Amino acid sequence: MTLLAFLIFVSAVLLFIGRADPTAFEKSRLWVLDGIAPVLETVSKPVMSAIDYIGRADDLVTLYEENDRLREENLQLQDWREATIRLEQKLERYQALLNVQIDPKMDFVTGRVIAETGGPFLRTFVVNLGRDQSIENGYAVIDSSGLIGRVVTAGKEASRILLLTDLNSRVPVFVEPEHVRAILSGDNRNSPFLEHLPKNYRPQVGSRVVTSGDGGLLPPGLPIGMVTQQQPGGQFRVALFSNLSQTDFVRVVQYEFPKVSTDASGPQPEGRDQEGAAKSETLSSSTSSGAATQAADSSLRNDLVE
Amino acid sequence: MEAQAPNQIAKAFWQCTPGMIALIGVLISLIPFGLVSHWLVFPALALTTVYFWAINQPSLLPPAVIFMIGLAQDFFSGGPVGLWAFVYLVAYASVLSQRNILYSQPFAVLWGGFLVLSLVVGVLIWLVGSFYYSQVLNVGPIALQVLSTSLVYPIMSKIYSQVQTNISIAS
Repeated sequence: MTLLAFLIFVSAVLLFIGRADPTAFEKSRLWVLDGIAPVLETVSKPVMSAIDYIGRADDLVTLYEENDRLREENLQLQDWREATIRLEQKLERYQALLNVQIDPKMDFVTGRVIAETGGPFLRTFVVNLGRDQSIENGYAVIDSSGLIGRVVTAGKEASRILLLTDLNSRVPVFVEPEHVRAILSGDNRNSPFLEHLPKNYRPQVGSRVVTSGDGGLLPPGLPIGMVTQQQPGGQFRVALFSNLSQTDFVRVVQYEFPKVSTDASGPQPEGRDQEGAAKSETLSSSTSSGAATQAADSSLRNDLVE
Repeated sequence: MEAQAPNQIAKAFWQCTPGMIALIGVLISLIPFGLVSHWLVFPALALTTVYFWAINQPSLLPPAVIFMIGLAQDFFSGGPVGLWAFVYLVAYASVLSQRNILYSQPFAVLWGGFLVLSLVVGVLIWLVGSFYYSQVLNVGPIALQVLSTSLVYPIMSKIYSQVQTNISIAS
């Protein structure tokens, strides 16, 4: 009984330590994650195969309807593709004109979800990618539909992903098309909610929400979801583009933000190619040419209206 | 003497079984079933282990083993370190204090007792979690875990009874 009381006391002390210093057990967590990853990978494989098999059996039932839907969608996507190519070319031209250097360099590494934590107050995935694949804490994680979270613990061969729906998730976002800044916060419900919206601003239902890149946390422009009906508490929730219950493969976005240079030649984005660097001029010179910027902006707006 | 050796191994194996089942329960809860965006919450299987063995044979599940299982769950899940260890040990202490009443009761009463324990554990998790994260936690997922854990108890209880029988035979 004395041992029992002592262990209860030790557990309470561990909780207090963890609360006072969230990084107190970081090394132990890394060590455990690396140790358990091979077991999780072995255990999850047959289960994922079984789920996949059941999913395929379901797909067979709706095969014809799905085929028709995909044909129709393909036609629409071909139109979109043409429009996107045209816009991309224009955008490149204007970016070159304005000397825009804001986009970080992005690479992707694909991995598999080997564990999930869906307990009473945690929403995390463990993926079979780690420091061996150059994964670092803070990297964005996407699936085929959009952002799902970010890396919070990067082990050697496995990493823990904090999902957007988790209680501790806070992501700076833009609400489109007005480009209004907000914070997307999780509260363990299936749809995270928007915080710190400007006063008297009510986003329209269906507005897209994308990462803003504020604070250098995540790269800008990653699609997240769409605004849904206002909740009784006054909150605006965001229905994620990703279906987290069907996420098996994910991509970790590796990126480097441009660093502000103190050099007289102005900021040079790190990791950019020689050609891009040669093309770049100083940011100050491009911002000083206000007339050119305005002209390009209005021209771009006209293009988008067209 | 030679014939006793396999018996000793079998006995040792069965005596480790309660702790191993609890640990396997923790590992199963991590398998990506896709529950993360559903209203379903995976049951706390280790709580069923703690309850059953605290009543029937506490010597097979000592506090140190429960502490390790709780810590394993905390580290594997990435949650607050010490939370599940604390909760399981408090649950164990509560059941031990009522052991004389619960022992040899019919199954329906034991199941009712487990439901009460699950509710108490749910409230404890909510309180400790809210304190840890400095915010009022959403009650929904905790209530669902209480429900799912209570519902799996009859199945787990059958498995533990079988293990208990095997331990008696091996002994």
